[in-house]
Amino acid sequence: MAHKDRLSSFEEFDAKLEKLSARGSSPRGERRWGGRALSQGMQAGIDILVGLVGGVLIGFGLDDWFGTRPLFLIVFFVFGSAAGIRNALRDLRRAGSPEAGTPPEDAETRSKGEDGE
Amino acid sequence: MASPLEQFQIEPIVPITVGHIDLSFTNSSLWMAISAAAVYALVMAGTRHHALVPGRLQTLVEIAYEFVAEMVRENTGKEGMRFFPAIFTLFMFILTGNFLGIIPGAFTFTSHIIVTFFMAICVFLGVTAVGFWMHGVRFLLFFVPPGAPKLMLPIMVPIEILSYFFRPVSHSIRLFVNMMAGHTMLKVFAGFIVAMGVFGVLPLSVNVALTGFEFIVALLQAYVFTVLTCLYLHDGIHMH
Repeated sequence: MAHKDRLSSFEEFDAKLEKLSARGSSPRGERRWGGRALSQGMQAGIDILVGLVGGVLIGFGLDDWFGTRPLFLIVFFVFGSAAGIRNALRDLRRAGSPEAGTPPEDAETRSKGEDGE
Repeated sequence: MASPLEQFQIEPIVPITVGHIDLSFTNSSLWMAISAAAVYALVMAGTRHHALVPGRLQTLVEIAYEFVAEMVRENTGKEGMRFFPAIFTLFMFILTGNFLGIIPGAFTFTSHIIVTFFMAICVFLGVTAVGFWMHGVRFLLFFVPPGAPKLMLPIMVPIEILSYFFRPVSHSIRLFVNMMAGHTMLKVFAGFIVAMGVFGVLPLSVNVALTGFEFIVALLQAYVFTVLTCLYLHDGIHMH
């Protein structure tokens, strides 16, 4: 008798589990995605900031060294910012795609480029 | 009232100086050692029984293993699994360090930029070495974006090189900033609790929420650091 009771409770439990996991799956997935998006946004910001500040610092350093105050500062400000944006773009594009690493449109243009060389 | 930044103070426990170099065993070193020992103990205890039906500890270790293995496979491809031990170690070390740091009175070594920068530099040098090891001198072609018009190369190559060298910087700043900001916030609100007397219940509830938030940040930042390591490794293995 007790054995039978336990069996039915297992079945009940299975049904309950199924119902719960069916209900819980979508909102939880969404929330996790929100967290990822937030952290990705933060990453991109830090990438750009590092590029900009890094470029300016390199420019200042080289100018001090060669005594050409605004020249390298301007050049590396531009290059540094571009490098920062490049990093942010690359991290975002990769982390954002489901099969990160080789986003489809990226892989295509790349293989084309290699053929051309 | 203690300064919110006091918690980041490095204090030597066993002072050691070699010549002019300070090699003291500090509170930071202590918590790194605890973290490493905790990871080792967890994995060893979790894999001791080899049970077909895993117990709690074994489940924990298996979840961690599968989580990192999936991350490496997804982001670096099959070839990246060769470096799985290093990446798993890195992830567990950072994660444990972040979690241990939430314990009141503990020291969060990941909130120091020199620690995160050293880890990022190791990743950077390692990935560069892997690149040269797998591709030889051809790895330098990594800095030439494929399919770019030749006229643009004098502009694009310096940008690529600069962005490559900026990566360890942003890699390390990310982890350190998140950990430091979180812990400073906790301390600031903890200071309000005392200062506001009865109304300190308000900042106390904020602190409870912040502590929960810190758990998410601890996991998330360990994850982000490791994912980026995988992505950089992908560059070293596959170029582009």
